[in-house]
Amino acid sequence: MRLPAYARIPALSWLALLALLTITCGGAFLPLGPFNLVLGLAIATIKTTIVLVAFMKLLKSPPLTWIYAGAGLFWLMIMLGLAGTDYLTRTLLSVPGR
Amino acid sequence: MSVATAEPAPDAGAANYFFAGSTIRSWLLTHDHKRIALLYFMSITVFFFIGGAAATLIRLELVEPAGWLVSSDTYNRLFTMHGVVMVWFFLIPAVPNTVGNFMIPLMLGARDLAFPRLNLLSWYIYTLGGLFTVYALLVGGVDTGWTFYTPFSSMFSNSNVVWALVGVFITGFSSILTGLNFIVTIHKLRAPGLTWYRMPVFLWSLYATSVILVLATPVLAITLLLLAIERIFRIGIFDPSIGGDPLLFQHLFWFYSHPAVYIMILPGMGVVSEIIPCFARKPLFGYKFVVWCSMAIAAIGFLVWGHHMFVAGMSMYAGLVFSLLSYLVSVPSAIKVFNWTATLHRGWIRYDAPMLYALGFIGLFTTGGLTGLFLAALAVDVHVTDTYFVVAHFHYIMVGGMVTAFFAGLHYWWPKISGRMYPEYWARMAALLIFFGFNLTFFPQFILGYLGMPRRYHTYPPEFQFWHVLSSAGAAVLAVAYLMPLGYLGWSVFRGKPAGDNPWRATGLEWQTSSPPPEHNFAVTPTVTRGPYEYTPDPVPQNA
Amino acid sequence: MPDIRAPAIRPALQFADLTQERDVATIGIWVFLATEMLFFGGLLTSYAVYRHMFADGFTEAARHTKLIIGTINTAILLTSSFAMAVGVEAAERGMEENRRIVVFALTVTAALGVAFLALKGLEYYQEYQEHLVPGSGFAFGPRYRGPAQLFFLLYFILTGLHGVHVTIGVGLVGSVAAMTRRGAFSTGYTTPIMIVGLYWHFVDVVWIFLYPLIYLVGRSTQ
Repeated sequence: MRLPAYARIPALSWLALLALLTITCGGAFLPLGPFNLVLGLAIATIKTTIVLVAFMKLLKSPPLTWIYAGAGLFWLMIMLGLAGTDYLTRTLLSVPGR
Repeated sequence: MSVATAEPAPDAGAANYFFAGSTIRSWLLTHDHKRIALLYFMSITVFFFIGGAAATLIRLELVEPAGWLVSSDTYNRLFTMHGVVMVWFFLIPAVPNTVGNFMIPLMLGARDLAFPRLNLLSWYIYTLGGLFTVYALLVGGVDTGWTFYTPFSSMFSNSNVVWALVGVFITGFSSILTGLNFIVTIHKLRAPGLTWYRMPVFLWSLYATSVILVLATPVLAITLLLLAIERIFRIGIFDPSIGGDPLLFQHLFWFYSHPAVYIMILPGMGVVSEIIPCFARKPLFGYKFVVWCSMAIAAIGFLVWGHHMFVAGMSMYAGLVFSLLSYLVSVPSAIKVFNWTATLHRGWIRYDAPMLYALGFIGLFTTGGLTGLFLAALAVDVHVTDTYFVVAHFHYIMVGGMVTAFFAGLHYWWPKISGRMYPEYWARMAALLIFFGFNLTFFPQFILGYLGMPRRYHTYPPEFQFWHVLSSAGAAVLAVAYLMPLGYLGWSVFRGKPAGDNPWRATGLEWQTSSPPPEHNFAVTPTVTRGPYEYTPDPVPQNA
Repeated sequence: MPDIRAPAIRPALQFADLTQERDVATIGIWVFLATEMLFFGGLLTSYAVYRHMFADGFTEAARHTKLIIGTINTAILLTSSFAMAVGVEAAERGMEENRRIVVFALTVTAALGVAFLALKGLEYYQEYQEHLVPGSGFAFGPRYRGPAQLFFLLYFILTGLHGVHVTIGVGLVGSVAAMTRRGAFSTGYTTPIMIVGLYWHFVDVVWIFLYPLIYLVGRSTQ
């Protein structure tokens, strides 16, 4: 079936997204230990990239939009990272007197 | 770079924006950024006096070592309201939403902001949030402090926490929309020839402020929402009985609230960067350093929030990291102070009121900033945190710095906004009185804090009374000094001397249109050919 | 993209032309989406902190989430994004000839959004029945009772906020569909459709990340 031009890229992307959904769901049942989380987030990242590029057409938008999209992500990393300096090290350094 | 080169504006026939439509409806449904600026100005003035009333009662109470005027519970509600109102309803919107709203399109040579209707919506959202907060005040107030720390705010406080949270939550969206509007406007609506490095520093400052507004405020929103959920449903993610960490609230809260202090100060720095070159008749020294330091403050300001939590139970390793980063964030501010000072050097200085305020800003902001370095040192902070040292530190920056800068900008641009000159003698008197009253109020508080007086206490050992009395005396002077501008600025609207287009002989685009400006700012979009501070040998406008 | 200025559509007063207006709208919506990233980001940070502190408790609690409903809902949202993308693309390539396709695509998007919300409601109801709503009625083994409540608090708040965004999205998509049907847009002016599309795709992206964090935890050792 020959898809009209406006549906081609969306359709291909959609099939890829559904395939990735199957993989991520199935992959959750594999005994990978901590890598289950890594796999799940990695596949989520790939799906997001497909949505960003194919559906949201980020790369065809003004470059300023890339900067702000990136900034949102980068600032989220700051929040996670610096909060991590507390939560990841609480049991690491002993406090004098305890 | 895109430019707004539309056809000449339709002529509404009115003398200027103020008289283009005289019904209340035309004001309440306006799309004109200048009118919206005045709506905001009216609102923030009301809130300034509400916050000031709370401060008056606080300083009155503190004259005596034993509580004499109010109970402990009432005192808690007073300082909470003072903080909530002053931070969110005065300091954060003060320069951006009044001076910024008014001047950004004028400085850019544009007809309006990118999203005029969003601008009006911002004001309505701000007002709605303000109404909820006033409601919280009227039904008894909140006693948690403006910082709403858990678990007291989530589990134990008997005050109207949720109403206040709703008010601040709603107002946050006003901030976000303002920041969004400014960012897009500055990027896309510049006049032909207005490159980034020809923009006045004030615009760069507001751009940096807007970046913080859009990236930090959403985190405040979610934090307050989480707190409200915990309060309403009596269970939440900060609840220790299910394993929740009250400190997580502080991490999330300060992730916003530390950058928020840069939201408050950056616009003030921008104002000062406009005034110093104009009244020293010299280009700003080190323009590129100043603009990139503004951006650096915005960026690094997001990395230091943990310095509010050094003794809260955070990991010491995190304390080390945040202490180091906090020292780093002071560097760009210091660079700006050096640049302003270098601008003054060998200038031809005029001591008009805006300049008096700007000079006061430099001194008071520097003092406050230096004491921040004391607090950033972990070992020193253990002793002075949660004392009046901290209170003095942030009041030097916020009041000595930011409020002074707001008055500087108000006086500098008053002729442009109102078309009238204020009475210079009274303005200078008020500026000097503010400077004197401010120092009398807050310098003793450094001493009090160092001696060990805790913050948020209304009873204290008798040996501290001397300093408290000095501080309260200063507050009385400040109260008079802050009322004076209300008087003479109001008078000037009716009886002030007509100002003319450019009473200061400044070079910015906003001075190349009439005072007050016409409804659509410029009859023809100007073309910019020069930088913003060409004051030597003679002042040359940007569009000459 | 050609800047075909439809006779009836002129840019607002502060803009020079429709291209500038469209660029401004695009940048504006992306700045807004950055704020949404930080908004959900506070919740995600809370999730990360507690998952780190209570790894076992979270794993145990997450096993009680409804994987089938969650996976179907993910597929529904992905399909709704597909429909939305078709609608935007068809509009930009030729609004006049594709108008009915656009309206159809946007309607399908909104309908799938409603289906998502319906399934979510069913899921919430089941969780309520199973006493998985945190609070005094929460039923869980004593060992992980605390962390499980933290997990489910984050679950309800994250998906609840997401659901609010979906609801708003359905409203926006529906409005834009109605405006398209009335002929409010032309090939040179499809900006509102594009803006709403970006919002909808973003709401989908949030769910793409929520899915593994909520539904795929601890499945391998069930």
